[in-house]
Amino acid sequence: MEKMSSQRLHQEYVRLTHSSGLQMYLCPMEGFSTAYAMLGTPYGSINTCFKTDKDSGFLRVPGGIAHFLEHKLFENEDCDAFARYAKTGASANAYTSFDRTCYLYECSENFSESLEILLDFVTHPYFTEATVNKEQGIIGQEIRMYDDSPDWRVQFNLLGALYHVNPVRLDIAGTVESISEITADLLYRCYNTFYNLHNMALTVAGNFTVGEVLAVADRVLGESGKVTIENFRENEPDSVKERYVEQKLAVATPMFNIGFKGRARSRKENVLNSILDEMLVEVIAGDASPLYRRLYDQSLINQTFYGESMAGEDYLCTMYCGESKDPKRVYEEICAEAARIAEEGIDPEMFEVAKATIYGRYVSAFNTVEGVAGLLITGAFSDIPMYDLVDAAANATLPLLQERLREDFDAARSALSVILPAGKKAEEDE
Amino acid sequence: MSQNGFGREKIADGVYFSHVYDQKFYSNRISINLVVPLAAETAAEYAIVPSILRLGCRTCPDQTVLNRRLGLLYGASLDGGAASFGEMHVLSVFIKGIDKRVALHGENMAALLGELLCDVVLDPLIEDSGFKAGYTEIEKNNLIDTIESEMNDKRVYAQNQCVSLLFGDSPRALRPYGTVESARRVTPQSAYTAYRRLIETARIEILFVGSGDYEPALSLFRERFAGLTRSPAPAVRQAPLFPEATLERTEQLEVAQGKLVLAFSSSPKDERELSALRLMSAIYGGTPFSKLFLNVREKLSLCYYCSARYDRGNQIMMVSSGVEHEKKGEAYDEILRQLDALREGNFTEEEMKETLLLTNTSFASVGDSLYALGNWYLTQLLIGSQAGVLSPAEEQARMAAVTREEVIAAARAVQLGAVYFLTGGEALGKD
Repeated sequence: MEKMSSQRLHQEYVRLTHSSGLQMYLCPMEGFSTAYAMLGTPYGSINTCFKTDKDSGFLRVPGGIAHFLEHKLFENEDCDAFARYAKTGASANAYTSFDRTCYLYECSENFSESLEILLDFVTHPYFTEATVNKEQGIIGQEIRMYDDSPDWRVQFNLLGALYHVNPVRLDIAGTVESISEITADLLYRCYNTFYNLHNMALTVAGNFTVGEVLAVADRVLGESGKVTIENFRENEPDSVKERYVEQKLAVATPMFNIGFKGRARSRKENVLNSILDEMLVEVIAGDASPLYRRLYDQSLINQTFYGESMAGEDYLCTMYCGESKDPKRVYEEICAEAARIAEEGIDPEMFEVAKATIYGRYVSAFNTVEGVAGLLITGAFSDIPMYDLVDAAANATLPLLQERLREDFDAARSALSVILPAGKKAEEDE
Repeated sequence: MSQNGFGREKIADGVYFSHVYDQKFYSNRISINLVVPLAAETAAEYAIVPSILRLGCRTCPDQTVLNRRLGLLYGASLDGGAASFGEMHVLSVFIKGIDKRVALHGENMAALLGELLCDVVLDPLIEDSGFKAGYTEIEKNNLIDTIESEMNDKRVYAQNQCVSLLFGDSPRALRPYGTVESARRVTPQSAYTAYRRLIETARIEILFVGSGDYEPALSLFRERFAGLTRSPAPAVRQAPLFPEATLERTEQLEVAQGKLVLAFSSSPKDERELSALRLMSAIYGGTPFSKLFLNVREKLSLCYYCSARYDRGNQIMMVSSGVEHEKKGEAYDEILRQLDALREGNFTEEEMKETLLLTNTSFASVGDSLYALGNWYLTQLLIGSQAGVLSPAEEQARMAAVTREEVIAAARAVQLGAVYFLTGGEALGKD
């Protein structure tokens, strides 16, 4: 058991490896009434082709299967996990992203009983052809809902433009066609590959004790054999696939996502670099920047405008999102400003503003049990102690940012995705 | 300083400062909320005020300078917005930032945030007896965008349309941003006049939530508000008027999935009936094991989502669902069938107990969030219940005391007032 502490935040958590192989990151937080637990595996929509040390060849699986598996895991032979949580009062959920699947609950009482449910149902899969067929209808509905969501579409259209082959370009939930190829056997293959305890992490934050967690884990979790996983990755070119994509949907004002494709390294480096890239988002077009002001004064952007950085296993990119009557103009201005700052150097005052902003953002995550459990799992899957994420922001330097600017904000490796109001035509063709 | 408690004091005529201190947080959130009657003539000109104020003040006359100051205050967020609560229009400006304990240079953050918020709300930039023309123009365009963009989230759009259908000509049918036409008529002078009227007549609720010392902020607010000329004309709460027969409307837009929304009216005569209505709505459609979720979504696969919630401001229960266009009729029947089940008492003690357990978690999580705490106490103050300002734990206890018979009575008491269906092109005409 290793104790990690932060003088800055006057807080500590423990990290340990349970006898089952499961990594645990436990952060009791004084004064909170609720506890938030997450059991996750670094398995998401990008894990589309893989093998274990026991398999002879790689298996390519249909798009959306990780998300499908997440839905199906809630159900076992007798009842579903929600019905079990109903007895404890926990509020449970799960999500699948590009590179992880997490099962979580928040509770104010019966913490141990809820943890037992979490550890039990995630380690006891039950898939049959009949239940898979039924879920295809439900997830088909979910996919149709995403099809109507301009926020969702504008982002995936952008990722499809930035990346040639990296599966980060694919919809997390898959398509109605791809999920129709999912079978119970395929779900078991994915489960047996990615859901072994040595590959997973449990994070808990809030009102609980370490002893409670260990007592439940000892009771519920058996030792699991270690599985070595190899993911097949096609070589992603440095360049972007397309510079411009558009779609028409029922929106009032055109929406846009502007993306810069960063150079991906290890997952750990990508996550730490993304913190610095978040600062660059502020330097280039954050609301204290000269460019933001120019665009805002010309009504080219409005208050929906924001930027964010996204990092994972083998991808790193930065996006600016918003609504504009002229998205192409916004795109050109942002590219030109990034190039200008790369050439002339970052204004030292803007650096201080950006650094303080991002530091404040990371510290703010410690206000909630959900925020802490989330940072713990991000740290767990990228091999970064949680407090190092805050320190990375606190210790950023101007030369470091200057270097990242050249590397990750190159207009030649950028793209624009636009959602136009249905019924209107693009003002000009690319 | 009170520990983990709520405190409130009057600091000027119709101006109140409330504080919730809790040292577990690393941040503080201060909001100034101006409460007036919601009306068609004033909705847009009031709604634009927080957005214009947010752009600058006399001590920070330039938007970029202001944003840099916020950035250096560790990315403190300063924002404004307009919301409705029943027939009330609530215009808010808030600031949130990390506390002194975690500031890299030990700045007295709570006092600095309070001072900046005061400057923004009470000392705006004025030219030619109006707000700055440039700022007004920008925010006017933004307001129009906001009104037009309300259709982007179809789930929320459909709910809003259903509320408007239900309340017809009454202020409750209005959206808090007004209409595009009224937004277009806003001028720097009319917006400034609206601002003056707000500062003079609105009921003003200031809320400080966090781990910082609120005393310096309180002294500052007391001093700044004491200098104002006030003649408050607060909104008077009135019971909603509901239509006698159920109203129905179908709207066509390019959507892949239909949205079906049902609004049920209610008239709780006291707090106890209100708690019963809230518990009944939760058993009906507020949990992942509710009647609607288990039957309409899980068992019959009619909807991707189907849920119910009680809207306290309007005294209505809203059922909201995403359905395939052609399954609308089936989903509608099943939604009503499940309500009939509750009316006939077809629910178990276990369902009731489990719903209460889950709501306990929701109540507890309010106390663990700065934002939720701020909203909670503002709502309590707006309701102005005879029971006074209740903490989440006190409300939880009231709900726990509701009996099975009271849940049945609550289900029988609600009446279907409006049915709104948003559908795609192909399906229209089939219903």
